[in-house]
Amino acid sequence: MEKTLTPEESLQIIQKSISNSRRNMREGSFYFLLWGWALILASLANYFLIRYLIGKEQYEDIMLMSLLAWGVFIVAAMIIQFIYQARSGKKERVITHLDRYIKIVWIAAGLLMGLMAFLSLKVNAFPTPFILGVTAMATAVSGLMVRFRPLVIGAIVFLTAAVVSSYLSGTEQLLAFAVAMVLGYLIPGYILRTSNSGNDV
Amino acid sequence: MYKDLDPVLHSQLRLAVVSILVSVEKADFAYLKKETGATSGNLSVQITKLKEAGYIEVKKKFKGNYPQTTCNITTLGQERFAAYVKAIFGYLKPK
Repeated sequence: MEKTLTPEESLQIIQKSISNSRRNMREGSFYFLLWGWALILASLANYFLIRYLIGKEQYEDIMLMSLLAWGVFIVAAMIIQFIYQARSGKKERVITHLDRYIKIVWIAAGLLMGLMAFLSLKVNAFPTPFILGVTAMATAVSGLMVRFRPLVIGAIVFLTAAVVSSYLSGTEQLLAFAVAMVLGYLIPGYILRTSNSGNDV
Repeated sequence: MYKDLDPVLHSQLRLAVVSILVSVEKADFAYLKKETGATSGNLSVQITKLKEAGYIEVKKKFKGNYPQTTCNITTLGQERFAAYVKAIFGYLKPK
């Protein structure tokens, strides 16, 4: 039989349990690095494809090839993410309230990015500035919720890139997008990954 | 002694489990085992007791090839935990 707890002992158990239930932010770095690299490669692939097709004067293929470039890298990233999540199943797993909120923000942002791409193409505009704007919002919310400054700075970069890219041509926007991804996703992602203690939140 | 303390919560391991679950969305069996340092057998028994009391929900499923038991606290569990904390503060600070 268990011994009877005193109120002091009860309080100690509660304090210890609650303070241990913290999330290691380093796990989140995987997603920023995966999507950062996938989107950088997609935008660069799209950029070089367009330049190649313009050189060959095959203008009618540009739209289809652009969609294909993005589709290939986005689907590849989704598959890698799926495998990563299935493999992490063997580890002990905890989902904090923050994990859930951040997941909801990024699902909403992902849907909004798709909608922005569709709407902008419908009115014959390039989708990059709109997508960067949505990315800025989701990155800012994540960064502020977990109190991780590099992500907040990344969000400011995305916001700036959204405005700047609206002044650029469609192909130049792709380069601006890649640069913004390096600063907004990759740098915070690598800082998170290499932080020794991990950021407990 | 301490008769008005909820007997479901007034146990070392069950209190630890509920304290963890109160502060997260959900946690699996392996995580609870690691955090509490309990044996699988004991933890399993206490989780069943908490589930039967309606304080927590337990879901069993497969993640990849691995069985995963996930626990989360119920509204009743949150209310009882709050009442329990209030009750022990009553003992710590006698009027």
